Amino acid sequence: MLVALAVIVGRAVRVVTRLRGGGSALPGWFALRIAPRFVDKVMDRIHAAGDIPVAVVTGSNGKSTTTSMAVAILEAHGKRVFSNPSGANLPQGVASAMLADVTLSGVIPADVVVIELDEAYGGRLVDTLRPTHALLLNVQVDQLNRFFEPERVIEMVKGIALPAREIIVNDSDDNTRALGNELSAGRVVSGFDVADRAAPRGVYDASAGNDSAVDGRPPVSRVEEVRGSHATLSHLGETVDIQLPSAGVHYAIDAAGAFALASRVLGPEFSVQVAADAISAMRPVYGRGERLDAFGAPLTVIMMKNQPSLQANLDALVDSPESLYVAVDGGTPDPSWIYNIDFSSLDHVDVLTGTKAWQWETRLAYEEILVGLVEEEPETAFEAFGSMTTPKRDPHRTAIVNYEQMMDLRRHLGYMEIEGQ
Amino acid sequence: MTLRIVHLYPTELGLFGDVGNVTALTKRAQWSGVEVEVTPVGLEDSVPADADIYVIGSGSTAGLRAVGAQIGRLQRALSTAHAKGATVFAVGAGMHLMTRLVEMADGQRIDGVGLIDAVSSPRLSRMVGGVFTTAAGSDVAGFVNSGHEVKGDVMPLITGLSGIDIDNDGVRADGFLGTHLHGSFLSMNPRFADDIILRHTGTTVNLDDPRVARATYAAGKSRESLRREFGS
Repeated sequence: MLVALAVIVGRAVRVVTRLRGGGSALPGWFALRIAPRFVDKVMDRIHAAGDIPVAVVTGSNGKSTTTSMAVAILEAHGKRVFSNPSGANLPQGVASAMLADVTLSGVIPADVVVIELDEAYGGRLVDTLRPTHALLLNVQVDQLNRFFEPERVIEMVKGIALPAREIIVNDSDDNTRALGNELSAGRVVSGFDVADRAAPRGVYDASAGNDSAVDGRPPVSRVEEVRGSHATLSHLGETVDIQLPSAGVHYAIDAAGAFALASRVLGPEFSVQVAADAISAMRPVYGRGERLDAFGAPLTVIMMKNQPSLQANLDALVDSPESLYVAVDGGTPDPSWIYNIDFSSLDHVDVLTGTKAWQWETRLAYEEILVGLVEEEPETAFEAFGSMTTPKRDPHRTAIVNYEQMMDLRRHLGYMEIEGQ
Repeated sequence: MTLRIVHLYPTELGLFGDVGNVTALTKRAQWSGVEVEVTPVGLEDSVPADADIYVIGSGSTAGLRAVGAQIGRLQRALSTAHAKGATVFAVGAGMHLMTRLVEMADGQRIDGVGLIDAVSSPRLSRMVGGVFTTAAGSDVAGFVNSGHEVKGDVMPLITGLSGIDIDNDGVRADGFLGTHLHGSFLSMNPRFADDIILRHTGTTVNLDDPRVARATYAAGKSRESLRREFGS
């Protein structure tokens, strides 16, 4: 009864928030106020069916992209998949996602469930979700103002993996590899990996004293080579070329993780070619190399949350961007890590903006990288970027932005659908 | 002369962009005509005892433990160098390792180098946030993220802080500067870098050099932004 009421009210809130173009977590928040065990009830129905795999995806970076890739692969194999949209990885977000598909009696028509989980909240949610599969992407240095140190994140990720009977780990990351070794008793552990030549600069895993070797599991999937947004993957002896949604080794590793997860879920049904085609047809996830239209020309938006994601995206640049806008605000409270960044792929920045603009300017001053304008107010800065730059070559204009600035920029440019809806 | 800088354990103790302190010292000295030699020292390396400046940064519990496990080597080199007039600049966990003893939250006790006559203890609650000075004539800012404090009769490096619930921070002693402030600290507060360079080279950093001027101006604007963002 409560579930039906939660669905009706949550759906109504969803209609209103969508009309207003925001508030993705709000419907779920209402549903959980009415029926605190809403998610539990829906999951009860899923588990009662007996054979519906429930996979969770977590790690510091790549959760949204990898989840989308896994969903695309599973759907291409004819499966009905329930998933939470990019970024809706907190309890309210998961509840919101359920509201879209659930019947009044709490049934979600799905053959497979794939849920992206925030590292910090995931431990609480897995008691409810009761995952059968856990995909552990990486533990990188991320949001230290929130997580304090990587060791805590390793424990959080471990807590998410514990209930699963199958764990799929990134064996190129020291920390998830160690978790795979540690959790192998009583669980099936599979790995995915990247060849050294495909990631010559490493994978930017957090240094937490984990340097164990892989504990006897050959990789299910491996990134063999990456050229821009083209990658070659191997999967249990087969080799396949894929087109990534955006350029960079990090996206290829996400794809290998999605391959490994989907193949463990599908078993012999899994087709390497179907999986490759599904990923190749994908568009970039919000702000992750997405092309928007601004000032009558394409604008490539590169979202970065932390040191490893900025470095991975800078590594993927073929040439220094011709027209470059960088916006970083209080969503990145302490950007001290920019001193760890190798900026050699940039020859200049046209406009720096956000409350952290001057910290970036200080950093770039020490690299003697020219900056055209430092303007803390993003709207003023963005307009100036349009008038200051006349890009002549593809990929036209580029924006490197933190998460909050990515959301603001999309809204500013009239892209009303927002992450998490 | 060549200014010799030793950067201690950049991998284990470099979580908060601490290398930026080495960058600020190096560039500001070079731009003022001083030759600089930077030696990164890892866990497997011996620690030179004849450098001018030693920079040791902040890190996680694992980083602190890894360096703490071989504190003897560091202790011998640093006490020799410090006695010969070297400056040690230490941030976060690096500063805590310069005390006599680091008490960990799980009860483990790690011997420190002992350059500071104090003990490092876990805080009841972690301090995280932007901090800045407000007194006239004092203009220091940075971001703190630490679960430890230095307990002892020491002179703080920075006094009169606002932003989060601490008034003072760090340790100042002869040939020693320690702080919890990131930014990194010496790039955001370059006058401390310039003082260290002057002490060891007799060279006043050339604030008229356009490269120095740009970095110095941007640092001032960074402190101003931080004060606005974290001030009430």
